[in-house]
Amino acid sequence: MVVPFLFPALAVYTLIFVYPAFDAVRVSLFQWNGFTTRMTYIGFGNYRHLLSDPTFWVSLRNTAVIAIGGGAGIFGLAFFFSAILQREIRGKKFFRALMFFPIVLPGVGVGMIWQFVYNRSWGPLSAFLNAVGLGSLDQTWLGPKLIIPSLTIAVIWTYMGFYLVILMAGIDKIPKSYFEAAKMDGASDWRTFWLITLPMTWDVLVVAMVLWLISAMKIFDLIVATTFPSPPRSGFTMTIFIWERAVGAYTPVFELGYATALGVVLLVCVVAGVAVLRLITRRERIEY
Amino acid sequence: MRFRKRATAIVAALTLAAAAAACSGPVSAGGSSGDSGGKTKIVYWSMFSTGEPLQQLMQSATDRFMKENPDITVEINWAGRDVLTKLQGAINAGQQVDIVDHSNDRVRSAVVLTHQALNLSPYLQQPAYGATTGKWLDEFAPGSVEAFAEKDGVYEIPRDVYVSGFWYNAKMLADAGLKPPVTGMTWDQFLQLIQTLKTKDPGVSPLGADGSLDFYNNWWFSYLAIRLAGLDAFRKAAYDKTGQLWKQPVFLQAANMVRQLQDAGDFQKGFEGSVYPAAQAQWVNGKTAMMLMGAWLPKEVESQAPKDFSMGMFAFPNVAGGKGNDLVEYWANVYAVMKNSKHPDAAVKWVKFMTSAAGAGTELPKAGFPTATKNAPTPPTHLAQAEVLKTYKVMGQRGGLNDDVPGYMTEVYNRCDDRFFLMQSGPSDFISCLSDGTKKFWSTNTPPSS
Repeated sequence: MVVPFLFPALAVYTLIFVYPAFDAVRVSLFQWNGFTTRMTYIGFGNYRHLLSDPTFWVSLRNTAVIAIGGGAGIFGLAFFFSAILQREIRGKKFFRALMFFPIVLPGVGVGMIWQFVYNRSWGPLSAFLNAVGLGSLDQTWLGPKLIIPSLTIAVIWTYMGFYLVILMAGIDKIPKSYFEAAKMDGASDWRTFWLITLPMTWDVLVVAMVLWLISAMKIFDLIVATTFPSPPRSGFTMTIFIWERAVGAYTPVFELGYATALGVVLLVCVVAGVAVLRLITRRERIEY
Repeated sequence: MRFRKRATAIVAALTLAAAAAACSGPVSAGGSSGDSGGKTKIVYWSMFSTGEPLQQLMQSATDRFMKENPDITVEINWAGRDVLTKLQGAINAGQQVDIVDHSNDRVRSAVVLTHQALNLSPYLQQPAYGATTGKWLDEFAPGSVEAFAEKDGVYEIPRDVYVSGFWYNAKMLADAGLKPPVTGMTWDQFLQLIQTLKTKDPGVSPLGADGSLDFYNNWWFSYLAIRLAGLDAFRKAAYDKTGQLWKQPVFLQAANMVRQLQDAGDFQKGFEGSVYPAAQAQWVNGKTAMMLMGAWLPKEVESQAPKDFSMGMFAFPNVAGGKGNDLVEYWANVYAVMKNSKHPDAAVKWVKFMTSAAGAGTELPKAGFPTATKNAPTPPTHLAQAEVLKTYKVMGQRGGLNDDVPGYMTEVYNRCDDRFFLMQSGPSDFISCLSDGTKKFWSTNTPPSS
């Protein structure tokens, strides 16, 4: 009985995701520039190539840094602000909306904002540091040394509000009596967070972290826009590297077969990352 | 089958990787070429987007062409700079496109080397647009078409043409008592010029650069290496399967010359993280004096430059005893006619119209774009370019390597050069990177035959 109801969705899902995903593996075994129907079979040549391609490793490392560093920043700040916004404060909804706002903006717009912020000649960050006598801290924010940390901060600013709202929805479900009891027992804020808030929002947190991991591995528009029109090589992430190989940037490289192999590797990384995350976050479900 | 491959590639390589943002579909459906209402319809996919100055100019020229040729309808897809990415989809979906344009290196990689382009050599021997005698080839400045020819013929017709060189703030240099010659400046004179600028106005950086673009960063080493070693030696080093030719002292010398400029603080502060076009904005606002850049610069800065901003240009300086002092980079935005066009004669007629004096060939210069059309006027901003072209021999981008081996350029050359130019590695490490990378690259790749 269920199958007829599921069929339309399954058919669409199979057509637009499952089939291309599997066929991508086939395409990744070919050398192909996309301009002809002629494809040259090279077996695992593209995969051997990427293993010895320094830019692949730089891109993978940068993607991991953004995913892990950005995740730590996002969830750390989200819990911090959720603790503040749990209290009875004036303008609670306003602050919540304010923090959610960046995710509403188009990635391209956010990227342009951060490109301006990080501009060392006329950007507000350098101007502020120099104005308050902290000129020694002024840096080339989008230079090779700092571009990934700088971009990670932009990512945290953009996504934190979204995950804050998700976590707060989970926290709101916890009966208030639990917090009141903890308070009466003299529990500190930290102990309340550790023994009540965290365990009771664990399922929500895990889902949020899975969502974040997938988003982080796929981040593209924000980074491209911050460094438009051509992201510097030191700032390559996996998606940008795939884009560069597939369609060329300033140098006309059209390696669609290699780009597809990179796409397959990224898909494997996402699936493996989610599996590992689920594994290490597995614990008994708390019902209340 | 064709559609399946395209769908797979798009969904797999880009959707799976969530790079879909970069892969927006065509601006408008190009439609299929054919006859409509007794008219011959040709389809042109353009690198311009609606609203750009050249788009407006080309649209009005095309309207005039259709008025003069009522039997031909030209359908234009203003696809923008990623026109070739969109063309990948169109070709694999069997969609008809008759004419496409972009920079010569991109068009070459996309449609010439993949045998999708029509050999236009026979057409170049025919009369130009509106003429009954003579050759279309004679409409072009001598050598300008040949510069983009393949061994077996001409597949790309140049439209707007450019060299690269040093662009300077004319007033700033004049105030410092400097008037650099357009051609023939030596490296020592160049260093002296920089020194004079620094002495005259310590608050201004002599050189500006946007470090975010590897394509621009690699100009410095490439020009100096070619100036010192000569074009042949430079290209041989890039193709050397052992990688050892990069270890010739002359290439280390070139790298050292770049590093000396950087160590002397001649580039603007923070150039390593300058995102295009920030350095250009600094230049037109008097924060830097000069930029090594292509001759598209005047148009690029036109909207942001103060009204009284005046610029000049001189060729990359010569080096003492150099073997490549007579060369300048030269490239163009070009038209290519697709080999599978159902109406190649009509398509070529339109290209002839756009590049001939009797058609629209002289209209582009009036709008400030230098063209390869022989009798077209030179825009005032490009008089120096015309002088450089009279004096120097032309070569492709980065000695032609960018056109011939883009894979090598991105995987080896730009990767090594970017680390070097952005101060992440020293000259010796840079040369070692080039040497090792070249050896590794050619162990798994075959040099192109043409």
